[in-house]
Amino acid sequence: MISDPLNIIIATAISFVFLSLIFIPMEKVFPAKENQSTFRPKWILDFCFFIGQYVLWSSLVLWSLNYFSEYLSSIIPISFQEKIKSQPFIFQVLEVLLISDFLIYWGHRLQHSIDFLWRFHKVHHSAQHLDWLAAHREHPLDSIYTIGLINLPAFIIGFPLESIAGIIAFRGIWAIYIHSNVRLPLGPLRVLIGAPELHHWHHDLNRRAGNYANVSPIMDKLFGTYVCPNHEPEKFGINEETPNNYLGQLIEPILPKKLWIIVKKYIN
Amino acid sequence: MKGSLIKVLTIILFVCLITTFVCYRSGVFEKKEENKVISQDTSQFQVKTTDIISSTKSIILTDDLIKNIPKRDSIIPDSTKINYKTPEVKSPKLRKIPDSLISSSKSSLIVSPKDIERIQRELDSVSKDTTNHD
Repeated sequence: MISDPLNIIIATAISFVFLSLIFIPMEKVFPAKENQSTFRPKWILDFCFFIGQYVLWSSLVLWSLNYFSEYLSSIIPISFQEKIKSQPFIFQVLEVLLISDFLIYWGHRLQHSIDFLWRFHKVHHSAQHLDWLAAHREHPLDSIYTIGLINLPAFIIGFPLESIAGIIAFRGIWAIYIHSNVRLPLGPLRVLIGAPELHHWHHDLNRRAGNYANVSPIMDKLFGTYVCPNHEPEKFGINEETPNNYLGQLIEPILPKKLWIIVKKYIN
Repeated sequence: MKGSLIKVLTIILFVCLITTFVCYRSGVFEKKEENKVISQDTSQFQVKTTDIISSTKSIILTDDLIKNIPKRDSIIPDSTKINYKTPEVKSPKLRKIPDSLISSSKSSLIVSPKDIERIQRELDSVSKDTTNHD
């Protein structure tokens, strides 16, 4: 079902204002990079990604996941789903969250090591300035991969995610927070919940810098990829040439390299 | 001193906004309507129920409520309140994508068009209620 365009615009505007209200004061008062202004270079590019995500791609992502979910529900035996559902609710919640974290950890790690997946994921890593808006720099196919993987356990067991809507909301907003230009150490809590200072190292120039976990760094601790120096990385981004504009960022990953060389002359 | 105050206030604002958002998403604000008597004016009869949890479901519930009420009730309003529950239909092959999804590890949709539609519906129902009571 396609929503009313006016509602899409209102939702996008409310989200933008709300997120600005949450993160800009934090970035001003606790900056990780003190010299970085709100309207830093490539702000417009990230703003395009933000608009694109809300206006265009969220429907595509939902449609794909709907298709995927229906396929899964047809291949998973109902008896298996019923068996899992018969467990106490708290166990189901823990299972869904832990398995999701496990899957997204390895899925994310693969995105950094397999070239085909990196093609799409590098769009997110091409940001040279990190803040809450840069979190939205994400290729739509990368979103489908990530959201599909993270929701896979819930799809398989038919777990009602609405029942943990609060936890999901917190994870979502925290995922944006860890990209923000904030340095506010969480102390001992950092072992349980990720912080910007950890995720900033994930955006280091080194493609295999570590900190692949989603919100909680537990998986990084378990699999030995936890990195936390007591200072900020010198530079963010990737050691590869990337398109300067929105269209180029969307098209480059889906084209063969030879074809991209021809196309980029017109796009850049 | 002034710097510390600004820092404390910024953290308070940050925590408050995130808490509000999480509460909104988990339906805390909708619970206020749980005990609110919602009336459905169908021009023939008035149905009252206190069993409404979320506004999205309320429409389905009231629709079913209207369908399930015997015709006699539409002529003679029952003074004893009856709450009808929507029968749960299990249809695994028709399972649809849930409203809540764990978001990407990078970002998340904060307000979706569905939220706007829901808010509009809530506002409409509130204004209808007010009109009915006037």
